[in-house]
Amino acid sequence: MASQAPHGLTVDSTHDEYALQSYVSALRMFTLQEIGGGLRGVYESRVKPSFEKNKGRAPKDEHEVRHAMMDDPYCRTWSSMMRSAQEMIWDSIIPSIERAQPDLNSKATALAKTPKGSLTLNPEVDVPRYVTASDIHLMPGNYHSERAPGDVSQGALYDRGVYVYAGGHGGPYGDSIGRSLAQHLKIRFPDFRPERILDIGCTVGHNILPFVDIYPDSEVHAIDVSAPVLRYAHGRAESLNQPMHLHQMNGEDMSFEDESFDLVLSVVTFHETSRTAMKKILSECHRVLKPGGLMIHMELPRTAEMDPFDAFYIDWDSYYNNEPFYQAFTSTDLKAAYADAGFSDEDYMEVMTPDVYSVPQEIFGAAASGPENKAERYGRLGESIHWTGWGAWKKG
Amino acid sequence: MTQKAEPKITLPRDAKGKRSVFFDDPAIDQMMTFILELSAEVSVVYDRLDTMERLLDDKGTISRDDIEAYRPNEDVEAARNERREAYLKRVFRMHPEPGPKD
Repeated sequence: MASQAPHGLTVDSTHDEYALQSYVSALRMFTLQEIGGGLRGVYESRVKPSFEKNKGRAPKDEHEVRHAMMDDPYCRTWSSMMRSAQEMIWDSIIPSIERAQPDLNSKATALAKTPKGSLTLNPEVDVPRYVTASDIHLMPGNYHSERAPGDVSQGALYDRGVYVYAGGHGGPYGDSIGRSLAQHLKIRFPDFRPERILDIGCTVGHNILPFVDIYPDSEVHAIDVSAPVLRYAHGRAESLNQPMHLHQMNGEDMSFEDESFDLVLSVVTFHETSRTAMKKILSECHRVLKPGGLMIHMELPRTAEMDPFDAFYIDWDSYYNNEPFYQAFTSTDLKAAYADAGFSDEDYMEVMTPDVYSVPQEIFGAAASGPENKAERYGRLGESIHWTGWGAWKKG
Repeated sequence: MTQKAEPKITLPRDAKGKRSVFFDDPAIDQMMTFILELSAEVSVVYDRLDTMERLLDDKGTISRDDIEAYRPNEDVEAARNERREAYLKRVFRMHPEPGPKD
């Protein structure tokens, strides 16, 4: 695993913790790619033929594929390994955070003393049920739990956990999706110069920080419902000298003024909410956008155009990695949802970009500035990493 | 002299929500966790041994502090990754995929 870039709230690990995290990362990648790579063959060679023999037809959707696959020993073994490996990510990090405390919280408090940006917490914000009901990604304590005043533990756990999860493929700052999006927008819309940018569901700020870099003249705001990740995001951003304004706020009901942002975005937030929340967030995005402004949400690939096996594979996390809204989200008609929120069909836009760290700059640029403004193909993780987004301009 | 220590912060170890069971007998899922954890221990021991060997090559004699302070550089990490991948391939060798049932 490549080294994560240090910042003011980096948690030190022992020699053996570092070795363990590196191994867990390799184990998860191996399970995902090497063992997971055999799933399609298992499906085609025995699961599908056996289904066809019993039912006289092929599986009609991902749910039928899932039921059939989860009866197969190969898929059960893969799934059981994926689940245990995911749990091991958090387990490999938690002791180092406990050891770093309570100093870590004090460091965060110190970094917040003379800020260039700002942190506005609001204890009145109710953490919604989609965050409190189960620990997303199996991260014990999720984003919101706190055990002391000023606690940043969950932010530290998420920051390191995402890095181990991705095996460092998210770049040294874990910002690959945000950086890819910011670069893509900058190349594709050279005349678009947002003065105020808003990120919804920012957690520790991984994906909004590159906007501070790439749009240096803009004022960057980011919101989340969970205080521990916001405190951590604030300290992290301040220590990296990339200040932004963080607010404890729910995207379903924001206290920003109407028409106050030029760019409103989110990065893999929606699939961790709910259908009702998504509708409300979209209406709020429309409300806070200035006329001529852009809303864009980077998210998981849509399963509607996929064959049932691929849809099963993409949605596995919905059922076994504590991401209950994942499947409902990937099958939602976003264009229709955007129209309900007040955006016109003709103002709808999509982003499909190669990962900025995985391809040479000229290939990245060609994908953003080409006639289709799109990369040729997309996948989830692996050799060809691409990121997908769905957006709309607000009528000027 | 007693100094007032700040309260220790402990984090939960288990994720809230129902734990998935993949096999008919949940004990097999439990075994899977044991096996993966054991495989991790072996890898950690190997890295520690590798650290000792590298430090000894360089310095001739070493202390525990030297080991604790050691962090692999890019080349060493790449070599370790290669070793981990070969290890994973050996330990988690899936049985060949049979054809259609019956």
